[in-house]
Amino acid sequence: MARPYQRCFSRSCFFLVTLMCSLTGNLVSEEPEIVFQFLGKYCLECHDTDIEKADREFETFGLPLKSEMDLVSAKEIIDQITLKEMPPKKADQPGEEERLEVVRALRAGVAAARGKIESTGARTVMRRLSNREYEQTLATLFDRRVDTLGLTADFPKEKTSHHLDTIGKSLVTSGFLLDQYFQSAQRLVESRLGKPEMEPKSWHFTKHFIQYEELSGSHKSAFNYEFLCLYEQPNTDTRQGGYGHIEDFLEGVPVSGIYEIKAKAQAMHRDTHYDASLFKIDFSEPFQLAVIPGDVTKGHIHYPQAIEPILGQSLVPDKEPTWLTFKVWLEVGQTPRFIFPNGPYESRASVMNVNKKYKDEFEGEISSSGVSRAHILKQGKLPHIRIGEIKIEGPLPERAGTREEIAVFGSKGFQPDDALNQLYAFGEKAFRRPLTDDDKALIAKTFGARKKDKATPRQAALDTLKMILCSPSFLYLAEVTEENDTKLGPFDLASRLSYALSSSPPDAELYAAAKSGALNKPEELKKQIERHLSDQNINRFAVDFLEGWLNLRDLGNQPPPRETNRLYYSENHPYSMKKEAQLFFRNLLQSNGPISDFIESDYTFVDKRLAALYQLPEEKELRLKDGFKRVSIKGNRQRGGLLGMAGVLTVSANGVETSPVTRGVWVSENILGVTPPPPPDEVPAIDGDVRGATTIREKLAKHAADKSCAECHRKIDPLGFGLETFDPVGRWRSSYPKPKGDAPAPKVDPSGEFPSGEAYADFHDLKQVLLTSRKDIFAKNLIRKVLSYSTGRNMEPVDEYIIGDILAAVKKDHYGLRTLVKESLASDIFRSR
Amino acid sequence: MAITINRRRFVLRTLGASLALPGMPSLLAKAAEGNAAIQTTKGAGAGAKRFVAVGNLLGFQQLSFFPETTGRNYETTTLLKPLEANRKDMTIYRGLDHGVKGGHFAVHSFLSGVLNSEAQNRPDGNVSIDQYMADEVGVETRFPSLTVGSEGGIHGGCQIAWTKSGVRVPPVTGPAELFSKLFVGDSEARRVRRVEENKIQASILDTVLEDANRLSKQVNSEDKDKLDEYFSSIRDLEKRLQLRERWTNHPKPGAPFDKPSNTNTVEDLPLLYELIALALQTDSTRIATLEIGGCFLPQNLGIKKAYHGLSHHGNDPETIAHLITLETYQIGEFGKFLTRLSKTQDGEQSLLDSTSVIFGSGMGNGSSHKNSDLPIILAGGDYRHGEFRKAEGSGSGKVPLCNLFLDIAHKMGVETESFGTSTGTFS
Repeated sequence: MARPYQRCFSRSCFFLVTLMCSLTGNLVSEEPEIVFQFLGKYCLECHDTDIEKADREFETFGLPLKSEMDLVSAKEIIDQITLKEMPPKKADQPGEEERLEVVRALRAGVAAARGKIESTGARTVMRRLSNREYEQTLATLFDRRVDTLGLTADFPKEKTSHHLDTIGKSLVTSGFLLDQYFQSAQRLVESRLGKPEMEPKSWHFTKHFIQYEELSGSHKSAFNYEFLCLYEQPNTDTRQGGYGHIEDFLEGVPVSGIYEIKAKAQAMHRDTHYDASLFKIDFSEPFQLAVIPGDVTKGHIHYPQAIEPILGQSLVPDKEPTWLTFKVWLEVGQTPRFIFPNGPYESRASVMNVNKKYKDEFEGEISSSGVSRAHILKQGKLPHIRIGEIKIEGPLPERAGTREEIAVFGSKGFQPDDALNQLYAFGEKAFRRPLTDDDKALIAKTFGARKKDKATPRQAALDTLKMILCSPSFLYLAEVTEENDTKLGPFDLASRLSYALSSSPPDAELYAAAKSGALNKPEELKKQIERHLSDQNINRFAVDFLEGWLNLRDLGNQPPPRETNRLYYSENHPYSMKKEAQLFFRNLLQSNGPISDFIESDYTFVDKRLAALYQLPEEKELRLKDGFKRVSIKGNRQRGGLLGMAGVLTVSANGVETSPVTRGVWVSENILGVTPPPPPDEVPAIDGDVRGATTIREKLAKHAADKSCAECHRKIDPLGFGLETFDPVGRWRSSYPKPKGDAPAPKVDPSGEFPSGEAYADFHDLKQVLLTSRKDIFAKNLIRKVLSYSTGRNMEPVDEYIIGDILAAVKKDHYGLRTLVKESLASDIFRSR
Repeated sequence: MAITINRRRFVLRTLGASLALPGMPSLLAKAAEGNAAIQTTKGAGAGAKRFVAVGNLLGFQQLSFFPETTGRNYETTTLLKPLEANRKDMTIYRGLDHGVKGGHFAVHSFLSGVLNSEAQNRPDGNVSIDQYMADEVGVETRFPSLTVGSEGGIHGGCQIAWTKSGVRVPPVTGPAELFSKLFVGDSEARRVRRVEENKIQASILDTVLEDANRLSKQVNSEDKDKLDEYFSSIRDLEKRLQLRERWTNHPKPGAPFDKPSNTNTVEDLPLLYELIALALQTDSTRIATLEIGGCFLPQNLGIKKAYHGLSHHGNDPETIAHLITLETYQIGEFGKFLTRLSKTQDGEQSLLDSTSVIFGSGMGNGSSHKNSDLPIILAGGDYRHGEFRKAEGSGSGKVPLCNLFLDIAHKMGVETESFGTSTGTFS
């Protein structure tokens, strides 16, 4: 691989010079003594080489700092003393002057060590694309959504590091995965480019709409299968009519393509007089109808399947049957299915309840088991969507060939005479760099071998595409430089930037900047960062980065019990929860708003459902179809900032109960960037015998009576106590669920006190404490997260110098999030291999 | 393989026909005796060593599980009652664990002894005993191993099976999928296409290997390990391809009953066991694992509580009673599985004699989230059974659970001096 190393050389020289300058920063002579005295007086009693409490000893520690371990210790001591977490409460306390003095001395020591301590790693190991990057890359290379193929559905779940899915060390490859890459390339290439030419066909369905077995009897007797009926949303436990398929179209479409689907549909009985609570939905909202793919070979056609992205969606008129049109992409063999996303929750139960409550309204004979569904359908007012006629037409011709044909082979489509050049051009896009002669030789060899095997030129080209999509140059971000040079070459830098901000390969403009070499100039890099941040696609960064940073990826992995959390399911709260955080993040990014808003804000973004969950006045005026809106929550002490978001509060609980410890650990790790140590060996396991205690707080108080527990819990728990006024799915509460018997529901005590003595009364005040004394700690953590996510490695102690520089720049710019991201991506850390 | 394809086909079809009634072990056993799918000839699986491991997510109530008296005269505890009929075929162990911590986050070490987070520092990663042995003996059968379980569950669920590269083996999630995997063959057109696909894949693999070789001469020092990982993935895939080629032309055994549909893990449990028994019996695999994880919902046994919520029972008697109900069911179905294997002839002995079966959990005390003192039952496999054995739970005499796994590996004919965190063999 030919890389323009020379071009970067002058810049590395410049870097070396700056490094040398910092070497001259010398320690003032008394600083080592200050540290020595302080440690001896306040720390060594527990942290000497004998006791090594919490696995830390400072007997051998001192200025000047000599190793990376020293650097870690110095940082830790600074943090502990600044936050007054050490020395422990019962021990002798240093005076304010003493504290400041030793912190000053240690900071000087850290600064003086800049450049002197060799990093042990601080390199990104060659990393493969994560599963989501892989899918996104294929969608870009083929210029069409690929989620209808479920290419990564069978891939092993990605291993994450601190929830980030881009860390090279953690992204493992196995024979199994490699095999999956082959299957995936095979499916993608064959279904999208290997399909036969086909004239558009049309289908028309007017009857024989047989559905779920349980519905057959009633549908036959009520209307002889002349309607397809949707009774409930798909997300239920006891399935009954959540998916509507076309019984006479189970074989699906003959070839992948765009199909026009028309359905004559009507929303039935949205004005029903039946008690709305039987259906657990909002009848003021128009009914929605959506189309998803189904595949009869992949599982039950009226059950959820692994691949079911929503392909099209529409509101359904109430008055009369109306033609609704959807233009959707379907893969070969897929059959369209209809769903009712805001439909009643659990039709089975609601029909039984209607039957019980309103049976006197029905005429005619009623069996001993009550009113049948058929009876209700004929005479009653059961809310549902009814489809009487369906037309399908396709594959619709696309102008100038299909999009993937053009994306892969160029504007003329596949040209047998020019096949090799076309394949080279695709190879360059797939490898994200110019091809070497060796690359070309491998492509030519594969193409030739397949042709020799009597494959048609087109088939040989398709097989060569599969090879390209399985080769390490495609699957890995290799980031190779000369061994003693560490700055990324322009193409690697372009890929790193583009995957960081758009989760996909470089676009034409970025690639051109890499090709001309301009990208390695800081101003061009900044220009490209700025361009990406202003692009509409930046939404993907908001989505993907938050999945990692806040672990929103795991939202929904610990489902709360359905009986007590109907709305969570019937209104798909996890979706709204994620969206709120994403919009909040994107807004700060676009407006360069201060990152302190993540801790406390007087606004947030809600849709109708979240407004209701948060009990905001907007609940009344918002309509579901309006989606999300920025709302002011000035003066509202219950919300504001990330910690007031239901998504964060849900992912930091376990669905069933909350704990100040788990939420405290969550805040510590994700907001402050401190991973609390696991319970040490000598700590007795917390036994569950807590019959006497009624609240989690009392239980904790019992455990914390043990001194060795208390040591860590006094730091963790205060970060979680203030969040106890939120239940496991983020609803505000002032008391815990009522226990069995006559005992009253215990009140929540949301107050807490930090080891430093900073005390707060409730959630709102907790945020003030964080803002007052932990803003920079939070800022640094966010910088580290952005850097780790974008470089593919965890930050190490030596990186802290540059992180400090970034922080200084961010502070100067009023803590703006856009500045933070820009400075991080323009930093030497980002630009090094 | 010594027998001809035709012979095999004949036998399997016959077996299939007589297996028309599902869920009747005695009938199945009889059929297998008369017209054994498992050949008495060497090489077709008769008497071959097999291994099954079953693990649950939240452990078993230790007070109701472990007896007091060690040796052969141990008392039958509440949870051991359903296994009374299997007493002579199994041994109960107490005091065994992996010395790991982490509550839910450590349950996945049940069959490996090693946390996934530590996998990177070890040559064999956190490979689980089933995959470790499958790497050695798996080439003999259509499926090197079967991993049955669920994706769900608190903090990722059981996650019982791991490869040497620290990747979880994705589970087959229900009886329908398992059934298709075992019995539903491909159409002829599809078979021909597969042969062609295998060929193309093999040639692509050669080319890709060339590319990787080239890359290995250029990459930076820190990248070497990653590239090695890629190379070993290629080698692994080559092995898989050879296997696939071999089995593409070899018909699957006939289906013993119609394809079942999935209901829920509770109701499906007997069927999953039956399918695993059939997989062993038809020599489709010799190694299988079963996870009873996050999809095992108490509501399907009439308990309207979340399993995890219950597990933190705080010594509340009603909650414990619920847990006992759940656990009794799990143990009861396991007992029926043992009985089923013991009544199935496998050459000169019973299928149970050929199969080492481990049952237990990576969770010791679910209420306090301890991963120590794990509940362990070892059944079958031609060991001397019938006892309750207590191992030294702590101190210098402590015996790691991996020692027992090492014994099992030796029984399977896998020659190794150590496995996971073993310090020697158990015996």
